[in-house]
Amino acid sequence: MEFNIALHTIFYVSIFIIPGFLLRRFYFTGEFNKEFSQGNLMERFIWTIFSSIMVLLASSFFFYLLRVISGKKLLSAISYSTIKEIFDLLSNNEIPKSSKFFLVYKDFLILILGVYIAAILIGIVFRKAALSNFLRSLFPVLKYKNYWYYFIRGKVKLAPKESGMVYWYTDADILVDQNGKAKMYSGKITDYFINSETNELESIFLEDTNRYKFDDNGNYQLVPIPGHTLCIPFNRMLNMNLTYVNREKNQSWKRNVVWWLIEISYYGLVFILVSLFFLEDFPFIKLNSILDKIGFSINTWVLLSIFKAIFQNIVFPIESSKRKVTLTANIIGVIVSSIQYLWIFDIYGFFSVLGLTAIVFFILVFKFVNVEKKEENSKDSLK
Amino acid sequence: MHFFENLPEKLNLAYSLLAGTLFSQFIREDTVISHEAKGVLKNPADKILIDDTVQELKKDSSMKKKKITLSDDTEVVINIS
Repeated sequence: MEFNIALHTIFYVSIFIIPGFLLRRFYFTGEFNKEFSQGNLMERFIWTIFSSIMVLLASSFFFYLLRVISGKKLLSAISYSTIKEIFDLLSNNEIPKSSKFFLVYKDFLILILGVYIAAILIGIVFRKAALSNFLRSLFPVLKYKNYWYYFIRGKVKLAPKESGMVYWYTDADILVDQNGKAKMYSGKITDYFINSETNELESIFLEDTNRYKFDDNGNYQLVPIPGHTLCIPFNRMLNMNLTYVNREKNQSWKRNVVWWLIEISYYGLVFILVSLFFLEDFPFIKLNSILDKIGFSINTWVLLSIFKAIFQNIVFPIESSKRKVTLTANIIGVIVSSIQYLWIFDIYGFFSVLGLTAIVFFILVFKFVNVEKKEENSKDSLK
Repeated sequence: MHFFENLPEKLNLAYSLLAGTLFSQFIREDTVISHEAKGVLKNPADKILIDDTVQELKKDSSMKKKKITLSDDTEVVINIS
């Protein structure tokens, strides 16, 4: 009896708590980390359950669409009959037969993996939406409680916006109380901390800090403060003046369009790769085991990332000093990743390919460093 | 020249491959000082130039932007808002 209760608990936690937990965990990351544990326990519990139900509905819809669009059968683990079987198994007060136990629970693990991946992706997408000025103005509910984020980044409504600008950093002039005397510091904001309960600013960190030194005529000069970072506690601050430093976009709209086309194609292909994992058969490709499928998806993702980097470096050329190293590293990456298909398609064994990969990798790197050294030596001799 | 010579350079190349393609996708782009600005500010000469330009823009409210040329000959228009 106790064993059944434990099984039920694990099942319900896996289905109704963990997806919501993952969604919220990936939504409240970085500077919004503290908001994850804010609010009373009941409120957080309800949000978690609600998020889990949202993830379950989204993943059911995704699996349904995948089946309709691809016209292929989904993994048996995601079929209605398997899900019903899992429910029946848990609702009966009996320990299942060992053969069935492993079959059903293996399927359950694959199914739940799909749901968890969906939870993480939804969390990341919602976070991106909450950080986008346009989407946040459309859906104010997405706004985070940490309002300092918006002030420090110049994302407040009052901040003047000029089109064609890219945010660089925020310069702060802070008036600080030092034993009854007011002193002003200036520097680039590098980090800040807020209170985990009230979201009030606790301290702010500046780098490249200068102190204002005023003369009798009101003129000033900036005196550099030695050290890397200056910490100013909020309770010592009298006032703060923020200046948002931006860079003008100097890229043509055509290059931007190509950049976005590469980005969209890349994420589209990654999405297809993840989707393919949940189909019974890969279209056009024969893969024998689930390990081969995982290998294919991860390796193709690596290759796609390298090609994305190569194409984007062509559209927006990087510094000439780094160009050669980056291109060589990318070519080595393409060769090493391509070799992995030998074990994925069962042409050679996994360990043979692993050995081959190590040899090829080190030969290519060795060759490259050798050529670089020779070039450097010849440049030195010319001098 | 044996293989273990320049091993740090070889490892650095392997790292640049991973950092430049795979890991860069997961680097948060919303740090207070953007990654691009950090890259430019690494160069001390460029940092001084940018700091001076920002101070100049702050002092002269009639001037909203200014074009500067960085040490790698890249032209950048700095704007403060």
